[in-house]
Amino acid sequence: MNPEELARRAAEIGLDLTSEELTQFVRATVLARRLAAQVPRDLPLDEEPALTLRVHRRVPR
Amino acid sequence: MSDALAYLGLAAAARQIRGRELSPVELTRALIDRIDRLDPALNAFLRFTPEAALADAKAAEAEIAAGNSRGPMHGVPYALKDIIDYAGLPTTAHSKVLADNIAGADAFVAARLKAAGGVHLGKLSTHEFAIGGPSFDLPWPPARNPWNRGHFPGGSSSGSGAGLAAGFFPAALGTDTGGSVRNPASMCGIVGMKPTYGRVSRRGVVPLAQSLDHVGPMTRTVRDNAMLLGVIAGHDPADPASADEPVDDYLAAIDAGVRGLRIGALRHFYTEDCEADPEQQAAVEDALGVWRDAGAAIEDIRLPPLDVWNAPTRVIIAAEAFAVHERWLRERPGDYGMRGRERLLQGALLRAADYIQAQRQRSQLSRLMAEAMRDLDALVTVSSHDPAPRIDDDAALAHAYERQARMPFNLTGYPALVIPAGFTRALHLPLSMQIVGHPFEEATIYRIAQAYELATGWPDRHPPLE
Repeated sequence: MNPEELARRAAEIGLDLTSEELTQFVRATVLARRLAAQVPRDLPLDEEPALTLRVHRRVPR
Repeated sequence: MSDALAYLGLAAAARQIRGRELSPVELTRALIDRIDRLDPALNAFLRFTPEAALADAKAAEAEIAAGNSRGPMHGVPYALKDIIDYAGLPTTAHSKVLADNIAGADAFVAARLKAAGGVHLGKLSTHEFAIGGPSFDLPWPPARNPWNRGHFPGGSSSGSGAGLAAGFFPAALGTDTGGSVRNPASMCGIVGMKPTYGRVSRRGVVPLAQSLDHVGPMTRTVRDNAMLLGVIAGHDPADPASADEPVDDYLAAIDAGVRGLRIGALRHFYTEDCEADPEQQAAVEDALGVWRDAGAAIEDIRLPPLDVWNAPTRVIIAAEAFAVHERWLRERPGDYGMRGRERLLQGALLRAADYIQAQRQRSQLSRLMAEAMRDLDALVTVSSHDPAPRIDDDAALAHAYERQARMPFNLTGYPALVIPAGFTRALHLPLSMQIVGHPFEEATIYRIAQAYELATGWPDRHPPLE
């Protein structure tokens, strides 16, 4: 997505940003997309999302 | 005031107060005087409340004199990061957005400290909404590092770290979503615990990313930290993430030493994946030697590279934080500082699938962490890869922001403690390390940290402020 397209998308989701804020938005979005691209898309089918993280005490060895 | 009173720890203050050797009013007055003199150069406090603190100290003194002690916090001063509600005071999150937000009730942790008879000194600097900082375009200035006020004190619990290092109070609370208790602990040379996810309630705390948010104790010594966690830990049905697990006695085995313990050395996080400053690397190696000499078994362990942990954590923070801030970003984007706005906007165009994939990877990585730690009592790695950068050097700040090994333990919910590990030779800035334990086994972490602290005595060093 180019900066013009990103500006249009910002307006679409209700973000009314000044030009300086739009520049930040573009930078932020590029970074977020770069991070998201690092997350694997080929996880096993039975890998469920940890939407509510539950951690448990281990059984003593 | 002598350093002895400024740097009196929680455990020592509790002992002296209980033995009627120290008056809570005398201690509180001494700290108020010190904050008055020194905080204008450090900005640890956003809102300092000395009159209320003195009233609390007098009440504590009267109760103790009548033989009604409420435990180790009774009459002991502390302060709260300003995203934690304290009834009647503003919770600003260091932002113009919440400048007039008066807390109607205490956060769970504030209520615990109040019930324990603690003396609340005020609300502490943070990064805007615990993510946007250090920033010079907010209604209040950023906190400075007491070891060198030209340097960054870490964040986002900046005032908590700076105030402890400056001898303003012996105990404070911070919060940690991607490392915000442990970063200021590293930069300021103090002790900061991110407990197990669910160990300490977040009710009444401004959220950043709920599935990663933790509240944690910050102190100058390991023993003090263990005492403070004992006060704030516990089940709270009003926090959906709160764990209904018994709270251990964190002091019971703190002096038991490390003989027979198995400690994993997680070196590749700071030697291969992201090479740490040589002095920082050497500090961790020295610590491993201290534990080995004391009878612990040190074993190299490997996990997926650091980036593999950081990417999903940052995607989750971006998505969840944007959800919290969406309305304000639409209605009043100009009320945010530049750094906070830019970081919060990262989540605006993430897709639902990006977020869910990150949460699925989180499940996978949590299992790998459990497998790697199965035969270990704890693992050790760096917290920050570098000592504190200058606070006015944007490039150095951005560089340091990326170079840290704290997020894996937010992602998995494992408890992680940062302790001081010496100083750099040239600028005498703090070095640190991180000790990670099994879920709900904070007591083992404290035991390992205590053995190192007793062997090295780093908390006895204080910054030259006067």
